[in-house]
Amino acid sequence: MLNTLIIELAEAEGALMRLIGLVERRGYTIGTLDKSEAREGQSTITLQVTPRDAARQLDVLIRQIGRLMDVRAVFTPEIAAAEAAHASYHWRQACPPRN
Amino acid sequence: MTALPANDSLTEAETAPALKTAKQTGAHAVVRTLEALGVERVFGYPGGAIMPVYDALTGSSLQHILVRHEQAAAFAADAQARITGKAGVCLATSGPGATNLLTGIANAYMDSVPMIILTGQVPSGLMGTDAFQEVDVFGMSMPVVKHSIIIRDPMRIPEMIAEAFEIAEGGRPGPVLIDLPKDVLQAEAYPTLPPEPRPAAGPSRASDADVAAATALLTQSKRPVLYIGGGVALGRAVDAVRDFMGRTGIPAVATLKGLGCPHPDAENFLGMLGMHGGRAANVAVDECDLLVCCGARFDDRATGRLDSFAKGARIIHMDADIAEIGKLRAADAAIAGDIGDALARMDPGYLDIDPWRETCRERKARHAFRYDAPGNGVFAPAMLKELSEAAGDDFIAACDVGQHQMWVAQHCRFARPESHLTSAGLGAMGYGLPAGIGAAMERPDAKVVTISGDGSIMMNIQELATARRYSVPIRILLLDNASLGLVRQWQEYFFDQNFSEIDLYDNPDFAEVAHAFGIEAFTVHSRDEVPGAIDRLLNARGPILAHVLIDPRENVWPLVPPGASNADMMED
Repeated sequence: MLNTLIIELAEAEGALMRLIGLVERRGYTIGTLDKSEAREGQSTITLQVTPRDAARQLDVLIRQIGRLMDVRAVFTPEIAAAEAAHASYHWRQACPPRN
Repeated sequence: MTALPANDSLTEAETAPALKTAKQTGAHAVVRTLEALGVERVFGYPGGAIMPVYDALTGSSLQHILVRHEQAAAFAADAQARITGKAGVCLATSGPGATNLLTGIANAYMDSVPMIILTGQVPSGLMGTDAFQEVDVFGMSMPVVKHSIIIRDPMRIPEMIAEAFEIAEGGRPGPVLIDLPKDVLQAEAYPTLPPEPRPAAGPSRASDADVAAATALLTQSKRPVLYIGGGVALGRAVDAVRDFMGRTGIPAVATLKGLGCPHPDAENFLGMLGMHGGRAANVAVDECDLLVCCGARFDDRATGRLDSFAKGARIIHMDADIAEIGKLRAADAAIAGDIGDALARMDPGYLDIDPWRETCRERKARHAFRYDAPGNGVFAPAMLKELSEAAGDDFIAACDVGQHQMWVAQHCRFARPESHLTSAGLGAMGYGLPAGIGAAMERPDAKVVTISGDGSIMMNIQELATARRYSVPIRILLLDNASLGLVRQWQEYFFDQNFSEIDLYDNPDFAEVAHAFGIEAFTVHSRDEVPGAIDRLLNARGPILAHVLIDPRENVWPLVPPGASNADMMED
């Protein structure tokens, strides 16, 4: 299953390596990777990732990316819509219920 | 420490004499910044690329502890940080110095210990050329650090180091590595020091709605259990947990890192859960209808087979780190933030759980550990229990890894979480001796005891020299079964008794080894010598080593077989 992640990343030394290393290490393969030109010390990374096994939860990966110091924001097209609909980013949106 | 004036605020007349008498470099900025941030002690080992910092240490208020292997510097700094809650600092050169630190960095990362790692690096222009003692430690350490930086501009040293401390200590703590190219350390620099150490940012406060949702689950529960992990101590929520346990009477279990958070004498504390947990704890979790996870992370050693762990229970997950919520088990309610604050705000009122409490209490009494082992050999669980009780509330155990580590967790009494220093997540043999040194230097009046095995002690035995050099008040209890006991136990039960490479029959005489380092030592052969040995250990100034011979056939019980449910414990 292909998932799109959009990451606003500070232009810091090692930031891209740290991000990509985390995604691979946490059990995903990276299909495509796009990095925008840096603007005001920040660029946008768009990744298409696929979990290596069914147990991997994309919401967990998103929050693991989110705790990197150089990551300013991380979202999927779906979460971006949810954020727009709610003033605060609640844990329930970060951790959707699953079966 | 007053701030150095910024470069541009100095007139030529002011700078000239200063430069003549005391040229300031990036390395001085490193040392002065550490001083300004309140650091009193660093553990390290010199070498080529870090030599400018060692030069700048002369005349500094920093106490530098010279270890004999860089890994020990990281472990000692880790132990100090676990006791103080403030980042420990270790220091090494580039290349092998840096790679020797990696196990210690991983250890701090796995157990969320705040640490600052300063590594020398080859000069900027040589980076990336396979220069002598060049290793990309910035890249190598990425999976095991909370954050890392390379400082390229000497003028930014104070601000970047200060920020590293904030990151290491804030939120969910962790190690932060600072790589320092030699040319940056040698460059003349007069940066402005950071004004004041800034307090680390605490975890966020849970919303009223989240607290209400968690409280509602509690009021509906007939069989709740608190599952307490290391995040309670890291989040300074020990008193809140104890208060909550007292107010509600809810039975509690602890992970290896959670030990010492519940009061050890609390009636509703059922002990450690997991692979070597007690029956009362594991069965309570198996039967509960609500598991309140406080700062734990559903680690496989705690949960056993995950899909049968607390299988009928709803989950309240409380953690300072939102990335832990739902990682391995979906939560029905969650507090992503300050655990202590949330527990204090959770008032479920009357809970209809008296039959459950009674069941747990009865089971705790029925399955209490027994110490009446036959024979006259030293029974390590009994000795450890007696040692911790004799040491009292000042007891600090610095454990190594193996059977003795599990016996310490099962049988010692811990008044506070910082009384139990153990390599929990990483399980790194070699932790105990340097951790004990770090702990005893920080708390010289405590009863610090390194508890090690004959396998583990050999991983960092060179640190006996450090203990001797600084007259560290450390007691070493070495439980010697002449084998790698925990591996041997697994081979006995899960590998058809194919005892492969676990026999350490040709160990040195450890008391003689200690003597050779100039350390007092004695050997304990039988059970009747144990009370005298405990007295001698605890009353010594230290360093002192007790070499205790135990039966190699002794095992750790109970044991949950790998891949099994925690309810399916093997017992002696």
